[in-house]
Amino acid sequence: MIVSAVDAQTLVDAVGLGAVYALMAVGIGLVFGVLRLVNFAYGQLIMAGAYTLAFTSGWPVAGSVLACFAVVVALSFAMEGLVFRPLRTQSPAVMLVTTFAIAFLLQAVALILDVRDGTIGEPAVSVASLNQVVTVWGVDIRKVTILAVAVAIVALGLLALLLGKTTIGLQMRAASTDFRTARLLGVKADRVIGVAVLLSGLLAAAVAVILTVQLPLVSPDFALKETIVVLVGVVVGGIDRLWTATLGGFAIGFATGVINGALPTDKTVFLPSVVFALVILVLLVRPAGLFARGRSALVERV
Amino acid sequence: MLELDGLEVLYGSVPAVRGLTLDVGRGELVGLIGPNGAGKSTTLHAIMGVVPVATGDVRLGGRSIRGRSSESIARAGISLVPEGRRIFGELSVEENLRLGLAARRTNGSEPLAIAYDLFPVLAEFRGRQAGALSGGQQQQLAIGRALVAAPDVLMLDEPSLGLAPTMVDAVFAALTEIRDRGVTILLVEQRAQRTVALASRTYVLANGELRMTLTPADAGDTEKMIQAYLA
Repeated sequence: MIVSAVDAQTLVDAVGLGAVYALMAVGIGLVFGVLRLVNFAYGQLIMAGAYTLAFTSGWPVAGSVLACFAVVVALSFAMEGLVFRPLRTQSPAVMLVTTFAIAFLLQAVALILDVRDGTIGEPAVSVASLNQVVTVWGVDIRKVTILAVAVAIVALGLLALLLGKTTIGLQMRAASTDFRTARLLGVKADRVIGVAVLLSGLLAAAVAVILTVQLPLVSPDFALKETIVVLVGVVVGGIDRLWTATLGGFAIGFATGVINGALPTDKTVFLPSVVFALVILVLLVRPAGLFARGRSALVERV
Repeated sequence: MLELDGLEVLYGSVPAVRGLTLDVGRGELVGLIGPNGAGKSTTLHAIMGVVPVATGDVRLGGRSIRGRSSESIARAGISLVPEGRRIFGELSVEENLRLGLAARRTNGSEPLAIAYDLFPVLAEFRGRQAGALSGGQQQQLAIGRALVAAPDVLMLDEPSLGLAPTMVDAVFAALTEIRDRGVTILLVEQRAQRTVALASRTYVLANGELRMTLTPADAGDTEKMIQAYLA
């Protein structure tokens, strides 16, 4: 296998991919923090957002994006209220399997809506203008890459402020370490969970916009592969803390981008094999997570 | 202020608390002692809504709080200092105290002052990670965190457990001062003699049932104290 040199172009694309995966990792990590729930159906929130963009292709961009946010956030709350809430006291395994069921259910619903026109896959053209390229010092940067990185930086910055400086943020950090004690102190469980679900939904909607620009043909398995990769990244980083989970998401996105660029074009079929071999290696060396410190079971999770 | 009326708590089909009736008057410090497994902690958990009440009632200021969630009971005016302190080790001392404000019903200026005033060490270490404090300091933090909510009733679950003798003295001294400030207290303890001496009334619990009620005069009566535990 001939490995070509990793150039600036590859690095830019890898950072862009890492940023998107980091946003997804935060969305998954926030809900995990307060509900102890690994939401496998997170990708279907993104898929719903992408379909909303596709179905509103004729609308002005702002309206289409707004509709996407509205649908994803509403679906995020519906998932919490209808499914997660009744299962809050169940074991993590039950909840995980339930999110698998939701994921497949939502894919089936999407398929039913999609095939009404006789074809599978809907083009989302309203946001396509973001796929244009700007050339900086000979490196082609798609506008969406800049958008992805900017959104990731702004979103993570705002989240850090929210968690670090506000009362609800403090309560979320406490609740994700010891929910029972937080409630004994008067912290409202529904409020803390509600904010986590809202933020998680907003992030999913932002990711839906970014991914749709990159992959304008929306199908029921949209974002499914990405979600699996991000979940792996979150575990590799360390799911017990929001920041390690986020870094894990970024790391696997960045690694995927770099390896993709380094592999010769006819060998990119080996991309998942190389990435997951790397994952296995990391987990063998650091089972608690790449960025986890010492005893991870007792640490703060958000 | 706080009344239990025929309280029954079941763990599965096993009764952990049976027909417990007691009351804590406004401004009183009332003790609840008994051997391990007597149902003391379970009683506190039932009051806080952590475990369900099978029969009977829990009233705060004459109003039933039975069946409400723990957060709603905390917001109604009962603060619990849980067994094992349960402070948030990765948060700062001040952040731990600020969490206690979640249940506070009034907006006073400097709401954390009561904690810093009672336990100056908390003011000194306010920016430090709570997990870095000693056991005694953590207990002071747990008590301070409960007090900043300005509760009607403060409940403590074995606050002296696992502390060095000087820290036990400090905890009991703090309890005296908190009572003198007019806070109503229900104290669950293993240190029977000290509790009976401090409390205006101490209930002895055994096998989930009220066995007897002791007064401070009984604290010096070793016979009666032994009887309370062994009879």
